[in-house]
This record gives sequence, structure tokens and C-alpha cells, in this order.
Amino acid sequence: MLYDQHVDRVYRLAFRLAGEDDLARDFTQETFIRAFQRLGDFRSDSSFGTWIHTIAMSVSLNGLRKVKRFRTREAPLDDALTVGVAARRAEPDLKERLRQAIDALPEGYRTVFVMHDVEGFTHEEIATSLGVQPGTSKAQLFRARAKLREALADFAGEWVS
Amino acid sequence: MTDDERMDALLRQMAAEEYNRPPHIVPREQMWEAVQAGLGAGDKGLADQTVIPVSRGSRVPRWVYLAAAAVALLAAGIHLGRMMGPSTQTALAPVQRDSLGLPIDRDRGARQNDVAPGGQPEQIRADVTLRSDDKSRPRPRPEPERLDPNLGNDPATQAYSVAASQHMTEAEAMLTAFKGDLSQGRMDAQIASWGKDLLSNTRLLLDSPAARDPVRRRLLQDLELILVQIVQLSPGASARDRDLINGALTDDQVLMRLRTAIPLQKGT
Repeated sequence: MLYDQHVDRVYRLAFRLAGEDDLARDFTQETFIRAFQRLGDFRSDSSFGTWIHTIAMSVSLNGLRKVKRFRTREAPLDDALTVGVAARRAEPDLKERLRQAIDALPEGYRTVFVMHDVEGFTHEEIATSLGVQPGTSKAQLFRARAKLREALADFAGEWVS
Repeated sequence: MTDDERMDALLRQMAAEEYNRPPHIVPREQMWEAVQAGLGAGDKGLADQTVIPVSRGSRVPRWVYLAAAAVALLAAGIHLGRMMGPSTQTALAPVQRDSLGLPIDRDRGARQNDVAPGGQPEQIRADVTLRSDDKSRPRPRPEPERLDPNLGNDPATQAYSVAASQHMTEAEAMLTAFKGDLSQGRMDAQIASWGKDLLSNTRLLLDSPAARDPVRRRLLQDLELILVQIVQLSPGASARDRDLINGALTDDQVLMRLRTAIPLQKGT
């Protein structure tokens, strides 16, 4: 089945972007529902995997924007409740700093970075999924890596050594 | 390898291992159930289409589906038209008739059986006179003609065919009543008004797609000629005038052709 062939990769990508199982499930389910409903629109000039990842990226990025807007509205109340906890939190280690640095990337940079460097998509696949040119994907990856190096510059010495 | 490249490689490795790391087991079944529920009962079959091959060129081109849909639509239209033919005919309100087959005028009650008192026969058209002259010489009897079964497959044309069939049924009834009156030597005044209605309808049908069929067209033209003579016939017309019309009816076999055409039309 097409579902069995592609669900793992779609779910993994959704999880990487969302960071939560519930959101990843929602995005994956929505992706396949839309794909099956629009199966007639699928043209054989691209592979089904590329086509479904295009839907997955659209669903995931739109979903994350909605979640971000919702969480931004809720943030002041959460900050007020957790201010004491944050003060007592230990200095985040490298993994946590990396996670924060990736999360802080602009959406376009983060998406390309996750797809290419984390999930192993090619620039052609990324370009098709996001509706951009492969050159744009490469440029955004270059800038994403530069921003991460800059964000984690204080760890650079011990990493490189 | 530069320091930046080395750091990029480390970042890439660490991100792949740690950043939003998905669980090893993907909840396939739960998500599949949710997908099916999302598609709804009506679309479950669609979800099952996931077994279709996705390799390039393996899908049936879209034009094949379009062509198949067009053929199916055409076949359905023809079938629907054929089904509608007889039912539409029976759905039309039948004209109430008396024992002689004449329509009953509800406003005036029963049909007027009284023949008007005798009077001077009106001038009959020259073509009728010509017919009477031709009557003396033998004329070949025309073969019973059949309507072209290939015509009228168009649903729009079929509607006109139904109307034509209804009209011919009524004309056949009227002419039968007229011939009955002729044999008894009288002329019902009601027949003239009935003939007027039939005459106008005949003209309308001749100008409609119903007359595309050449056989039907000739029949309607002959019927129109007969009706013109009947309409112009005064109630007190002489026996000679009636014989002229009767001769035209007999020579052209209008009644027989009408009776032949009606059941054939119903069957097509």
C-alpha cells in the first residue's frame, strides 16, 4: 500500500518539524487524507513520494504557524507561572542549546535544515516539496548552518578539537 | 576540511540524533484508522486505492476516463430518451372522445351530431379538382412506408417524435370519424373545428424537427392537404365534394399510413 510505503517518512518529517507526537500524528493523518482526496490530481510526472511530501510540508508548516500563533497568545500567562522555575534552571547543555538554536532559525532556514541535514532529503526533493528552486534550497541551508555556527560559537572550540 | 565544515558535520550528526527525535515505532495503525475516519465511509474505497502502482506511465491517461465518461453519458442519455418516449406519450392528457372518436367539447357539452341544413357547396380548391380528374386513371398503390429508425435518437428530437405520434393518433381518429360520417351521408360540424386544430398542429410539426424524417414529412404533408379540404368543406357540402376528399384519402392511403406509422413510432 502507498500508505505503508510512505507513512514512516512523512511521520518522521512531521515529528522533526513539530517536536510533538500529537502534532506529528495530526499532520501525518491530514497529509494522507488530503492525498487520498486529491488522488485524481496526482500527475505521474513526479513520484508519489515527492507529491505526498509536498502535501506533508504544506500541512505541517501551516499547522505549525497556527500552533505558534496560538502559543504566542498563551505565552504571557505561561511565563508568569513559570518565571520562578526558569530562574532555577541549570545552564542548558549542548544538546539543548542546539535544539534551541534550530528552533530559533527562521522558518525557511529551519525547514531546509531539517529536511536536508536531519532527514536526508535532496535539494531537488526539497525544492519540489516547498515549491522553490534547488538553488534557493541550497542558499537557505548555507545560511541556516551559518546561523547555527554563530549561535553555538562558544562551543566551537571544544567541538572542533 | 575547514573548521566550519567540521562544525557543520558535527551539528548535522547531533541534530539527526537528537533534534526532535521521532519514536522508533511509528503509530501506523492508529493513524490509518484516523485517516479512514477522516475520509469518511463514502471515501473508504478511495483510501483502498493506495494499492495502485505509482511508477511512471503505469496510470491510465486522463483522457481515457474522460472518453469513457462521455460514452457512458451518451449511452445514458439515449437510454433515458428511449425510456421517456412511451411514458411521455402516455403521460400526455388524452382527449376525451365519444363513441365515434370525436373529442367532447366540455364547454358545449355533447358533440353536435346534427348536420347543418343543406346549402350550396362551397368552392373547392383547384388541387382537389385535380385530384378528382386524376381519379379516373389508375395510380400505383404506394408501398407502406416505414419511419427511419435511425432518426430521433436525439432526446430533443424524440420529444417531437412523441408529439408527432400523438398528433397522428388524433388525426387517425378524426379521419376515421370523418369517413364514418361520409358513409352515412352526413357531415358533423364538430369535425371541421377538430380539423382546424389538427391542421395548425400539422403545420407546426412540419416546421419542427419531427419533419426531419422524410417519410413522416410526406405523411404530414398529405395529411395537411386532406385537412385543408375537410376544413373548407361546409356542413352542407354535396356528396361530390365529400367523394373528392374520400378519393384523396383512399388514393394517398393516408389513413393506412397513419395507422402504420403510429405503432412503429411507439416502438422506436
